[in-house]
Amino acid sequence: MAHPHPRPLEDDDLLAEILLRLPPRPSSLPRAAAVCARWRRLVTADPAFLRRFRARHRRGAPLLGFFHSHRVSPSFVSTMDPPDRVPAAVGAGGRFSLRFDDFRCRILGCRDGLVLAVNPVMPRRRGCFLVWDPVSGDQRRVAFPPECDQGQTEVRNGAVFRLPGGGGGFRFQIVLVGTRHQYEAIGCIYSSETGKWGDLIATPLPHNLTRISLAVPGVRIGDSLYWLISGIPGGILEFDLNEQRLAVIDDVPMAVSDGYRRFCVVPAADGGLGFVFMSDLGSQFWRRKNDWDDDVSESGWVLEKTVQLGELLSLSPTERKGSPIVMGFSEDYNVIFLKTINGLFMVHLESMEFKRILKDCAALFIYPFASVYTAGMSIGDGHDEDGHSPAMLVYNPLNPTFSIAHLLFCPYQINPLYPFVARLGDGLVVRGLSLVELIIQNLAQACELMKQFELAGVSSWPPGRLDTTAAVALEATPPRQSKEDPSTAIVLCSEATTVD
Amino acid sequence: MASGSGAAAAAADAEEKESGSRMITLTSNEGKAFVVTEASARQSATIRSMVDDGGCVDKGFPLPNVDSKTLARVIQYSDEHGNKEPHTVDERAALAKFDRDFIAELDADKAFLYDVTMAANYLHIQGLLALTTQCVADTIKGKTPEEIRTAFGIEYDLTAQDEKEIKEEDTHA
Repeated sequence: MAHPHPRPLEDDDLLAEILLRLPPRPSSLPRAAAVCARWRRLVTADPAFLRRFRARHRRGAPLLGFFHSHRVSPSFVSTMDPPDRVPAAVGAGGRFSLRFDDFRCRILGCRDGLVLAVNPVMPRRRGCFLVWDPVSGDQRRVAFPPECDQGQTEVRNGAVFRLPGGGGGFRFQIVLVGTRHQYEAIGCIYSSETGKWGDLIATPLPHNLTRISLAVPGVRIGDSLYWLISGIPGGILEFDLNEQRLAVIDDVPMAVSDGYRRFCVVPAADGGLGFVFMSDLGSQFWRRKNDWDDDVSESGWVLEKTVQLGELLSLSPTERKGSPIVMGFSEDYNVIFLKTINGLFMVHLESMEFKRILKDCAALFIYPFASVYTAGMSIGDGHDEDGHSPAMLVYNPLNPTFSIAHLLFCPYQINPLYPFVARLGDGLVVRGLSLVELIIQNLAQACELMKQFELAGVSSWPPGRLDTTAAVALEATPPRQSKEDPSTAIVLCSEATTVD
Repeated sequence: MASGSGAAAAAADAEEKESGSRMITLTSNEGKAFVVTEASARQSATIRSMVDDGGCVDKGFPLPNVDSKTLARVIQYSDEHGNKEPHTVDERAALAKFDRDFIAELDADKAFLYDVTMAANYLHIQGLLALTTQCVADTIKGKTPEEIRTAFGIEYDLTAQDEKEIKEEDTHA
């Protein structure tokens, strides 16, 4: 068959323009990368192209799956069908895996392709948030504002947003909510642009509603975020991001509890605040009354509809008795994740289309994750806290030397057996920003570490898997302190387990 | 020069630009001349910057990379987008329909689609470039690498190392 000569595909700029417009499905770029050498170079080794691809499709990013916490390592479960299924290897030990440095760490939620986790208590240090982009591997720790350091203040929950901007850099906002002296709700916003927390805002809490949910992620509806407050009847904490105002909605006609998960804030059909309640009689969809509602009854809420979800999910009459448990909610897709005796289901709240994802689900909560997945392609997307490019320390066993490589400029091959060590030419790369073990965070730290290796006479270092505890110990030591304490680097080496 | 008269000249200039009353001649590589409104020509960033730099508006612009058939089609797009600015919902819908029909016609003739894409790129007509590259991307989407190679007559030149990486990477291919 004769083909018209596809001239646009032969022009590098036009090829980029065309491939940028492929849909953001996880299979798009890996397939393009397997077409020919030129295409492969563009979609695997051109960081600018990958950044543009991600930035372009961020708005329509597909719901890839969800994270759930399994002890200290959150794992990822793909909910898409082949060929768009994120490979299981990526979730287990690969790029989508993270290891918390403390058992008290927990995920607070995902938004805009970012995962927000919190480590509320750290020895000798302020608690902190961790913002993580699993696709690019970027991550950053943000210490709580100093006001939250005092004993009477408790950080309860939070939310993350990606800040729009050119280049698709790692720019975000964190919204914190907590309590002070048990009778005030507090809120505060951090911006990676300024690197600072804004002013603390506060609103009084009713005496029966002080327990802002620790576990249920906040839901964004319009310009506000909503978190649950446990109680009988329960409440909802509203953070109006535009007005920078906190308010407590204390007339929720249902019991709300972290442990008893029948309640989920969802947008109502009119786009305003609503919630769904899994009652024994069915799933009730409630909507908050507007100012223009005619209804003159006392209640501030209207029951819009009741759906027999048990029936819908084809549970037998005996199985229907236990109402479904709310596991998570995706704002972007208006999809609720429910657990029943038959497994884990995704239900679209408008169409009521559903899909069973797992037969069995041991997770306590799941955090739906939508992002532009670019497979095994290296994309150093942002810059670390000090404004340096992420860097890696490279050890070359053939000519025992350490050198420094910029993450942005070295496409490297990850060996799935040794996820912490990657190969680059003849050298070995300790992977930096791709994992929580921020082994080497930036150029300054890499230089410092290299000096320490030399000082300590470390001239050979077996190609092996790093013990994560050692890596965490190193990470926990701020680079400036380690100047006086070269022992950290030695710990790293001696605790590295050799795996041949 | 007195600043007052300069500003007045600039204002008159701006007014003239806005009204799009000037006509501009574009010449294809076959020497055929096309006279278009300035507003239509300004859809092309390449021509826009030449006009704004005080270029040879009167002499016209020779376009050595574009043949007559392609240029006529490109002008059809630029006229539609340059000569009328959609204000109402209906006007915007009409323009969107024009785009749909325009690209559907090109899609049926791939060789012509490629020519128009090349011209849109050369002339920097953002909207047309987006339309045509999206159309090529839509042809690629959903196809396996083998199907993509077949559709575009691309030669397979991946190395054994590439193949190994692809195999390790995923199940997408």
